[in-house]
Amino acid sequence: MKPSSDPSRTYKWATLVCAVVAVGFLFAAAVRENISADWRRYQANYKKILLAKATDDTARRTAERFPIEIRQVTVPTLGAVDRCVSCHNGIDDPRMASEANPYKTHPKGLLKIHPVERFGCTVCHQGQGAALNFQEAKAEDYFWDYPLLPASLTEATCNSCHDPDALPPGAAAKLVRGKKLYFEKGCASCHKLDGKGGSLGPALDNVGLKTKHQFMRAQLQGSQTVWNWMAEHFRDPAKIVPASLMPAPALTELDTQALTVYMLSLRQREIPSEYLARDKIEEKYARLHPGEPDGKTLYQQYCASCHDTGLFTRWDKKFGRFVPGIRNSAFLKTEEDECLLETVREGRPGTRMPGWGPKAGGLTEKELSAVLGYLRTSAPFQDLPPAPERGSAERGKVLFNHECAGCHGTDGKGLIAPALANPVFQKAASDAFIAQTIRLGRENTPMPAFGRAGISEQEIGDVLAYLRQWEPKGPPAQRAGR
Amino acid sequence: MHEEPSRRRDFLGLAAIWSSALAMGAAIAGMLRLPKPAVLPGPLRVFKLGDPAQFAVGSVTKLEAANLLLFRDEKGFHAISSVCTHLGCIVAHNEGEGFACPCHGSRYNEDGAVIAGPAPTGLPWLEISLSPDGQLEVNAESQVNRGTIFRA
Repeated sequence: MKPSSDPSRTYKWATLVCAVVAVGFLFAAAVRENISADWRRYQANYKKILLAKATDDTARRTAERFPIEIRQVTVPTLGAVDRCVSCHNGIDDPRMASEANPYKTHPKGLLKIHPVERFGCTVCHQGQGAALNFQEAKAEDYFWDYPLLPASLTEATCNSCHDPDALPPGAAAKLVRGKKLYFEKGCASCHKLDGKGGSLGPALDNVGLKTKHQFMRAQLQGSQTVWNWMAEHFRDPAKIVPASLMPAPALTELDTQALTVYMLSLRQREIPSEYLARDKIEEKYARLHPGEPDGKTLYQQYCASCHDTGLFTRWDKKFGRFVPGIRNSAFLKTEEDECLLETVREGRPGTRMPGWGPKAGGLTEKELSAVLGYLRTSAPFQDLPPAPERGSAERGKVLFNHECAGCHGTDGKGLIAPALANPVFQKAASDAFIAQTIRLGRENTPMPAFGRAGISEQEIGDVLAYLRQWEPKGPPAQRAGR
Repeated sequence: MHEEPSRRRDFLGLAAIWSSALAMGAAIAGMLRLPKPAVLPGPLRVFKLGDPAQFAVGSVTKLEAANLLLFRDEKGFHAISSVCTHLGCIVAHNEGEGFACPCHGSRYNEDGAVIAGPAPTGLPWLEISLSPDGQLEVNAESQVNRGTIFRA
């Protein structure tokens, strides 16, 4: 035993061990890539299936010649290089309908109308097309922006080239349902789509192409995919996005999935026009050339989320204030068309009511008139008795603080009742309108009829003078400054 | 001890050196493979034409996307590229006369052999095969000898 006889012994051992480990790894890598790759096994099995299915000599010869190689579909116009066909060899062969995955034929005969050579795979299914094994093709936990869509949500991508409503009945049923729900549930009251909609929530034009990193996922449990985020968010928005103003839409599980599909289908992706179905082009055309607007439908889409039927004032828990009943006949009787239109067009700054004019909510003047027409179905405008002369603002202030400030706030900024110091209110409301509202109150709301309580015309004039002190002064630029 | 030639008996040292060399060699061999891709990202140049029975005997089918013509006669199928071998214009096919290039007047006979003009060689014949699902396939990347007939 002479352990110290050769001082380089330790280094020799270290070199030997490292080299053997390196050779081992290299050998394993070579075997994995050249011999045991999944796609080689699948293609060998497919060859066996082909041989078993061969009925004549020609077919047998073709099957025997079936080369085992990486296969791919390249569609430069769609940016697709998809190697899915390396494992899914029988994807467009109708004889493989009863085989197991990955040899199986594509379901529903969809590849007959969407030949895989022309469309590729990832344009509909997403996922990493260049991958050669399923985990990487699915790419859910890889650094890949658009992982494979689950089969239950794949119809989302149909919307890229088709108008969902023009598809044959039963096709992409979830997409069609989701689109319908979007408008039925009044999502557009807060979210913009194609430039139309409210501004309380984010615009949704490209939400289907957002990656998971663009979503707040701190509260998201389970799968960290965009679709799981959306489904969980529909179940309880405030749980996923703390302090979200979005009400939890009452949805069945199927509806949740349908809306998720519709959200995923909203993609601003330039698809070459030769891929677009005729109805998609017609849909785009119809959006640019809308027909006669229907006030009731517009009200349902853009107003009902907050104002509900509009017949009663509604207490909104999330907003922490009353939402005015805008179809209330008592209100409409006193409000002139121009004043109503102005409020809808400009919104109410300082409240949750956004503007809906062409530059804000995206409604055209024609559509605004249609909404007005629908509101007017409750009651026409009745001529207002003239307002009294504006009196003393000082006396008005005392009266206001005594009688009105409890609901409207001492500074007129509004508490549970509308803010009277609001610039749009000040611009839109005439003296006659304010005076009449003070006299008669507002049915179905907490605003009492002060006329019945014995308020004199002079006192109304005093209050008017005080209210008008809040009228914005000077040029708009100065007013906008804080 | 110093007189003994320890070199030959230093098995450990030799093993370490040779296994390092082997590891290095395997790694270099692996790296040398990298520049040659297993498959290129270019568009697929194999065209599926469908069931062979749908082509009538004596028919000529022109495939614009693939720049080739598929001929069906009593003997079988053959496919001829319609890209002129001179400067790559697309030649016109005139039944019974052969092919004519509009650019510089090259002429080919029905079999694609040059009969006039600047074309250096005849039009290539392309490989036809049957896909596993029984469809006719033309591989525009792969040429076959003139006169090769594919029997379905």
